[in-house]
Amino acid sequence: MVVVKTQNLVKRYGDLLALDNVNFDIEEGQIVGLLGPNGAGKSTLISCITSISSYDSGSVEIFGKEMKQKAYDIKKDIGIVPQDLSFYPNMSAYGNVKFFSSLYGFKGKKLEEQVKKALEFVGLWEKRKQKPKKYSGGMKRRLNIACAIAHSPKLVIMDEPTVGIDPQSRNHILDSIRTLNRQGATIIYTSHYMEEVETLCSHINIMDNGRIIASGTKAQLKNMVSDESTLEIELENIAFNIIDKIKKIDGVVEAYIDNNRLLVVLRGKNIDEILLAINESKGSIVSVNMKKCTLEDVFFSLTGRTLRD
Amino acid sequence: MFTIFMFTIFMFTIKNNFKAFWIPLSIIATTLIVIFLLGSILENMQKTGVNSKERVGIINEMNHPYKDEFDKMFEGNELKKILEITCLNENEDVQLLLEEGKFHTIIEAYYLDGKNSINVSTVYPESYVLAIATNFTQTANTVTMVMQNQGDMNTLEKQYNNKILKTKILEKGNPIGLDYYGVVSMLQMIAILGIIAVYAILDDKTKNIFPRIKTAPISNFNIIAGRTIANVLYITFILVVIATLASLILGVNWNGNYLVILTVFILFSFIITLLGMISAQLTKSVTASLGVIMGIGSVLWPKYSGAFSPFIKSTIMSYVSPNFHAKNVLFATIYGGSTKTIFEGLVFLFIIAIVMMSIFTIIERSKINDSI
Ligand SMILES: Nc1ncnc2c1ncn2[C@@H]1O[C@H](COP(=O)(O)OP(=O)(O)OP(=O)(O)O)[C@@H](O)[C@H]1O
Ligand SMILES: [Mg+2]
Repeated sequence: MVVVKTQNLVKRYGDLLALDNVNFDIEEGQIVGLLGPNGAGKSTLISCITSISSYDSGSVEIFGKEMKQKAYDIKKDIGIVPQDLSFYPNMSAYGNVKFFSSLYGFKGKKLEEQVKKALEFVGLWEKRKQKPKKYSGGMKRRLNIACAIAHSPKLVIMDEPTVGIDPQSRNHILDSIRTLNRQGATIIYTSHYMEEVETLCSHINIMDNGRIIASGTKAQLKNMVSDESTLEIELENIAFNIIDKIKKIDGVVEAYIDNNRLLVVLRGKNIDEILLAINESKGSIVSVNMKKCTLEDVFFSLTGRTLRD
Repeated sequence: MFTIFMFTIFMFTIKNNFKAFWIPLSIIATTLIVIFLLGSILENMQKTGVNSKERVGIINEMNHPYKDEFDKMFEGNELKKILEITCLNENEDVQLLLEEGKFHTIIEAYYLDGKNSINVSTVYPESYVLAIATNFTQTANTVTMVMQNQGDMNTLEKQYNNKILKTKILEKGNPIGLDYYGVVSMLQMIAILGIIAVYAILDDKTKNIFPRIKTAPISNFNIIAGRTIANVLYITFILVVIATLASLILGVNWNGNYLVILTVFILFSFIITLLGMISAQLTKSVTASLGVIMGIGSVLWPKYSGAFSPFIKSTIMSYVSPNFHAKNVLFATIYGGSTKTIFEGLVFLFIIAIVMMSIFTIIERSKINDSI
């Protein structure tokens, strides 16, 4: 089933074209990454999809129905994690999650159960009585997620949920997102950290200047650039004739030596043969590193800029 | 239209309001102090807005030999300095003359059930006439002057409770200032609580709760209605607390029709809440809103509308000032004013509330909610 579908979505802020004919499809059960540099229009797209903001033209469908301000039957199945922390800092974490899930019609025992589940899920149950203003940055981010998932939404939309937190908290959050997905939620995940999107998402949309400039699975995107990868081998004693030997191996495009490293650009899966050739010429391998094409490379090849520009 | 969610929002708002208990606590304490200061200390200086010369009207229906004596008493040279006496027609409306501020005190002398009676109605804080009349009924052996057929001091005091303002009887009783300022100061001070309505509107924006509220399956109407009702009841509650404490601690008089008093409290709280919400929408800033609330609710409405005058006098501002109408209704119900005054005041309060609600709705509808 198609969970989210936008058609020619256009949104202007004055003269600025924040969304430029965005067509965006999400299938049920996917974790979809929305990758783009600052100001690409990721948050704007999310606001328009969820009817937080109005848009100038185009259409949005969620769960096969037209999404509007008053489409409460759709809204009850959506959970949103806003980019900026969104909860009452002076009210306990428990109170926050309880309030937000009560807006989805939960009451009494069921409400308490849902709140407990959400807080346990993000690992904040022990600290539920604390006020979030006393939380660390990572804990605040986790609470921001808990507030969005306590009503067990079928579609979870996360706008940079890990921004500005340490790798450990980040991994915790990424793991929880995978768990959510396994439990059946479809997830839209926005980020400008390509590593995150790369490890987490099955499908990726790359945005720039209000347009989706590329979309597909990781492999599809990388194929758009090239199917080459670079093998980097650190050696202790290098026999110079090795270059010629390796160049003769099938699939090798280029091979050269840089300091005591042997660099091989290759296509396909012939690493075994290369390593065998080194062994035969009595080279002693210190380390092997496979440098694959990244989303960064994809973005660079599409726009001529890096993501962090 | 109304759903269970409105109740959720209502409970949430009420809970949050009571959590910040220092706000109402300080408002209650300050209001009581203001009532006390204005009522008892400043009373002598301010004279509750009354001229120093007591304007007295006499309606004399008596065809009685003591009439001359009675007239002579007020013609004494000393009394002339402090009294301004006018004789009136028999068919004048005493209530109206007092309410319009044409007279401070009206003496009606008449013959009833075979007795000579006088009835003194006054809005003057230290009415000389009343003092004289009181003295006269107590000491005169030859003349039976009955205050509406009842002669003793206690009922005399009761009678005057029923007048537009409770009168200070010289020897005893509470200063009129407390009763007077008890009502007007409370209305003036409570306007500050409009700030909680400002928070109800701006909290979502400043704390970025907006995206969550907007994506929840709950209508804007329910959110605003839930919050408004919660805030109105909250402000009404604070008004009741102040009125009760002012009565218990300072002895301020609230002996009117409690249903009318409560209705005024609710309407007034509603208007104050709307003032807060409208200024929040227009200024989008808590500090600026506080300025608007103080400017309109605590200065413009009470000060420049005649809301601080003990008389029903109208300026252009009077019509748009809820303080003015609330005061009129409260004084009328407490001190036996006319039903017309009560009815008119309530209607005006209602109209002001409706107008403000319309303004709020128009702004709410027209604003573009693009804030993520
Ligand atoms: N309320 C607004 N008014 C005017 N312009 C806006 C508004 N919100 C966003 N924009 C503009 O729209 C463009 C897209 O912004 P958006 O927040 O969607 O980017 P983003 O991809 O989420 O960036 P980031 O990674 O920094 O969060 C930006 O140029 C921004 O300046
Ligand atoms: Mg953003």
